[in-house]
Amino acid sequence: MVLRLYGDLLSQPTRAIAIFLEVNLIDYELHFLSLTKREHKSPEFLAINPRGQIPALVDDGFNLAESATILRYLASTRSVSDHWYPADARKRARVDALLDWYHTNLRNTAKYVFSGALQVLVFKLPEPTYEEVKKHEKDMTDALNYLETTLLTREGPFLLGESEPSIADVLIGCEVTQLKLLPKRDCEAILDSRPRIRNWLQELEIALGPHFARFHVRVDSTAKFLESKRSKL
Amino acid sequence: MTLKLYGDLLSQPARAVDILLRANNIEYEFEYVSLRKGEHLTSAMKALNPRGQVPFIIDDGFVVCESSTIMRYLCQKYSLPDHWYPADLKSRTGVDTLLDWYHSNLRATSGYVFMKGMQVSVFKMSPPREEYIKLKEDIMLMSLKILEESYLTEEGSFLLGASQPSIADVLLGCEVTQTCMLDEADRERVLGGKPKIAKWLAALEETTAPHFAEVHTTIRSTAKEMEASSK
Repeated sequence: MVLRLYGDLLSQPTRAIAIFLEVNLIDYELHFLSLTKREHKSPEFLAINPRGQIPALVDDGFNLAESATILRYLASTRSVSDHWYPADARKRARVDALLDWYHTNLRNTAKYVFSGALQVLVFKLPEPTYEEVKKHEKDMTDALNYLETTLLTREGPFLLGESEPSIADVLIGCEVTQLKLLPKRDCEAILDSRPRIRNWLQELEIALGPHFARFHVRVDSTAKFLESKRSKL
Repeated sequence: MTLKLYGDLLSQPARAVDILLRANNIEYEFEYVSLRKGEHLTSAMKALNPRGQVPFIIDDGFVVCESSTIMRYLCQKYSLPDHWYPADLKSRTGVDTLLDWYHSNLRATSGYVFMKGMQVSVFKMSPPREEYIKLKEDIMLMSLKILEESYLTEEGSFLLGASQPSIADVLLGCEVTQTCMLDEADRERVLGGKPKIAKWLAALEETTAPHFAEVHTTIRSTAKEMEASSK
């Protein structure tokens, strides 16, 4: 049975997995679930992932959740180049540490981006408090600064100075692109002051080919929608 | 050069790594880094680990941080018995899922415990806002419920019905034991009526004996001191 990926392209980990599958020519079907319509909480989907979270993957009757777990699983079960998830213990530990860092640090980017117009205009939820937004902003800024000054180096274009991308580059890259949903001038200001991140995103786009842009179409159109709404406020 | 573990046993991931090392008779030196004194943020420590977080290990000049990464690395480097981090992909994926789930869910437990106690009494920081405590509390309670009702089963003593512990059992177990820092009433409210969790922690302590209990000596005595001083 063909591999099935369940997700929404507004969700950054869903994009990361879809792009990884495409780049490695792995046969799969993408099943769209709309987060705004809360389809990830439907009984049909809860039967697949009782946590009610996307992305989820079904591989021949085996159900998986958690983006980093899915990426590790795919890199281990499909024949993909070693650079995605190296077999060598030290190299693998470097990638694992990035994936763990992501969870508790850069993932705050999503919370900050969401607490803006997305929460109110797209998901129709109540406005967050000023303190909540400020806290998410600080967490995000700390994480982006660490990415810029420490995780990206002059040695090579990818994370930790590697010459080729790992699954951490894809996952973390798809988180950073979520910044596009901020007001355009805010997103530009964040990237203008962090040239290594900007450069890394370009390298990632080159390495991942047309799939990177293709799976960001939904983000781009939502960004445009939000920008037009903002101009009317 | 001997493997070194840097950490403070008041921190749950440091305990987890320490237990894994001890339970497998791996030779190492423990370098105490006092969180209370902010030693993890000194320039000497940051020269070793720029992230300024503990625990981390140095294995022959190679620095590894992030608790679950350290544990995965140790399993591979020392070819530890398979149950710690199974080679079989489906079993391994189960362990990976737990480790990932931990970060954004159960990890709220220590955040809640810290805010309810140590933040003010031990770390002399200003008290947290009620909203933050509530936020952590909600995530913690939901996570403990998931642990009790779906990750622990009748099949085996350990997570996902396994008969032997994995690195996820140790990491998640050390997170839950952080609740020893709560006052009795609160601890009862958080963990009461969760028999599977209680049974699981006892099984973990027994399987890794005497290491689990020994590594918990510091936190258990700190908890007692806190309780005595609050009376």
